[in-house]
Formats: sequence, structure tokens, C-alpha cells
Amino acid sequence: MAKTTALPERTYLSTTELDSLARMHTEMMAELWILRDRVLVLEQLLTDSGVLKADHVDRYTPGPDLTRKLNADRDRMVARIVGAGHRKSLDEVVKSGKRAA
Amino acid sequence: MNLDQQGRAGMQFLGSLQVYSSSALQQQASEDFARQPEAQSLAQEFKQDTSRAAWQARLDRVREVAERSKAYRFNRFFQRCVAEEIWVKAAAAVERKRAQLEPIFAAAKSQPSDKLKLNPSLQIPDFYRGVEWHLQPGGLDGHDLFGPMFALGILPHVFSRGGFAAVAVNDNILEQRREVIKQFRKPSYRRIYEPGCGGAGTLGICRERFPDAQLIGGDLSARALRDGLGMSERMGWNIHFRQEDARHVAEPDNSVDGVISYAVHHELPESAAREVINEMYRILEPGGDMVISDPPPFRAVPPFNAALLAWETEHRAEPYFIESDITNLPQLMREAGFVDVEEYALQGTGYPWVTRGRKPVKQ
Repeated sequence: MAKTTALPERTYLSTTELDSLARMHTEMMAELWILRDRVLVLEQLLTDSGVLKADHVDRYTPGPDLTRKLNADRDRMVARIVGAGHRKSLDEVVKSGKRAA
Repeated sequence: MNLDQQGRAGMQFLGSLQVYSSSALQQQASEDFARQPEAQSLAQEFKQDTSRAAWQARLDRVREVAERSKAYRFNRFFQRCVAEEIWVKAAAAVERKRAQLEPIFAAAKSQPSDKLKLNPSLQIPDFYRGVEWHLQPGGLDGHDLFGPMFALGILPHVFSRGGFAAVAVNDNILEQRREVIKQFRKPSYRRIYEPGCGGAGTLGICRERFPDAQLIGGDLSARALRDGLGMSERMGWNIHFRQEDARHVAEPDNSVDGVISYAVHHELPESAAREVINEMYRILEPGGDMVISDPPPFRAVPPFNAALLAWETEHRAEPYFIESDITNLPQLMREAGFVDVEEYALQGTGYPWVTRGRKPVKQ
């Protein structure tokens, strides 16, 4: 029987590393939701106060300047995240400048 | 008072995670279990009651079979995650409210009430000592804001959605309590006692159904009793609270005509459960009724469901869950002297499981 908050000795997902990864992933999910909830709340408050019209954000199409910024930032984010699991050496990442500061 | 956006959203995330895990993943895990070659023979075995040691061996086999399923392993992982994180996130959320909460508690403490009798010299039973029940860090009195954590965070955003322990997804736990209170056989009672009340939740519902009854709640936890008094006063329930051991209460012999025991027996070893039932028999007057509500015994549920219940003992700091689900409560009640003892489920999932009996009029 377990009486305290100490973690059980047996893992849930076959290894302790996998358990830890899954915990990190779950916490990231929580952070993602908290942020999404906040954005939705902000949109609602801005709509209620007349700054935005309802579905203004949904109907918005970025202009050329914002599109360029969004594309570059999105490509950098994907490269950082996916690339973090696939790089062969740190040198290649730093020298190529693909790793954003 | 409500939690701020971060607190609310964090707790609501946990509620959604628990619902998904306890519905989609648990359903898949149940189907995976049913496909295992041992499923049929285990189902037959579970229909026969047996010794404590044999039950433990059965539960070990059921767990081994269940854990072959990836869905089960993830379901149990998320169940544990949520069980930990409800305290972590709720603590952070109510700490941000401390400046608003402390004056409320200070005001309550500065107004001594004859409805609360604390006993600072009460000996905590050995079986209770050192247990961080339900993974509450430091145990039931380990944080001064456990009450607001539960009332503002855990209950409205996580537990209200079900999917934990014996509570099924979408079960309304307040309605379940109402249904349990309806299991009292008489239309009115003069005096009702609740051992291990943990606060005012159950007795508050007794107040709805029995508006004229005197209500008394006993518990080991001073913090829970203070929170209970606070809620009772705010809601006008007029409940009296005593800090006492349910095995030795201050009530005289034959002094109450109703006893409600809600979600307490799964936190007692069998020896203590027997003592509590005997003590409640003592304080009940002839013709008085005792109603017990708790998770179902293993003999009343399919093997897969038994694995879910047994998990609580190893993973949610419920050290006596397995023992209590093996204990034969009707037998303990009959041995204490109760008559008209019966046990049954209030819904198809087996929970709440009610055991009730009456102290005979003639003895």
C-alpha cells in the first residue's frame, strides 16, 4: 500500500524516462490550454468593449508584410523543434545560423 | 469568489484530461482486457467471495492482464497525473487569493462558536498517522487553504466532471449524495450523526431532506471541521462539529436515530471499520437507522473495474481501499446487532454502493 505522495516505484509507461517525458508533455498541454483560454478571453473582452467585431480575428487575412513575418517565424519554430531531435552536431546548427538567438 | 484566469483554466484542463482518459482510454482498455484469454475465467472467479489473501492474488493477476493494454497504461498514467496536479495547480491558484481568503478565516477563528468542539489532545489513530490521503501534501491538515482549494478549484472544475476512483464520467457527485440520503427509510429523523464527516458536504444535504433534525458531525481533522463550520454558517445549516475518533465518540448510548457514513469506510482497515460500526450501534436508539455509502466491494464488480478500484491503494494514497473492498460490511453490521441489513448499488456502475441496517426495537 502507498500512504504518501512519493512516486510509486513501478513506472506507468515502461521506463522512468518515458514517464518523465509524458509528464513534461502533459504539463506543456496544460500551459498551451491556459494560453489559448487567455487569448479567447482577450478576444471576448475586446469584442465586448467594441474594439473588435465578433469573428474579426477569424476573418482576418494577413497582408504581405505580416505574412512574411509569420512565415519566417513559423519556419524557424518548426526547424527548432523538429531539428532539436535530429541534429547531428551542435556545430552545424550554430554555424548555419538556423538556431535563433 | 472565483479563481483567476490562470487558475481556472489550469483546473479545467485537468478536468478535461481526466474525462478523456476515463472515457475514451478507459473504454479502449476495457475492450483490450475483454479480449485477453484470461478474461472469462477471471470473470467467473470474481463471482465467488474468498479469503483476503486469495483476493489479493486475484487482483495481482487482473492488474497484470490489464497492463498489457497501452490504453490502460496511459489511462493510469493520466489518472495519477491529475491526482497529483489538482493539488499543485489548486495550491498555486489559491495562494494568489490568500490576501482575500485570510481575513475570512481570521474572522471565523476570532468568533468562538459553541457549534465547534475541538480536542487538541486527541490521539490520532496509528492507521491514520503519516497518510497523505488522496495525495494531499502533508495529509488532510497539511495546508491551511485545502478548503478553498477544494471548493474553488477541485470540486467545480475537476471532480464535478467525474472520472476518478469509483465515480464515473459525468456522474453528478452532489446528486449522488442526495440519492444516498434518500436511502434513510423514515421520512424524518430527530438527530443524525456523521462519523468522519470531513466538513459539511453530506450533512448539508441531510439538512435539505430533514430540515428539523439536529445534525452532528465528527472528524479527526481540526482543519476540516473549521472549514465545515464556516460553510454550515454561511449556508444556514446549523450543524454541530466535534473533533473525535469515530471509534469513541462523545454521544451517549441511544442518543441518535440516524447515522450516515459517507465515503469513510474505504479509509479504514477492517478492524477500525468494525469498531466504528459497533460504536454507531451503541449511539443509535432502538429503531434507529445507519446508512453507509462507499465504493462497491470487489465481489460486486467485473474484474477490470476491480483493477481500477484496487489501483487507488497503490497510487492515490488510499492505503485501505483494497482491504475495505474485500471487507463484508453487511456481515460486520449483523455481528454488531443490526437487523434488516441490505446492500445494493444506486446505479449500474456499482457506485454509490449502499449498505444499511436498523438497530432492532427489541433487544
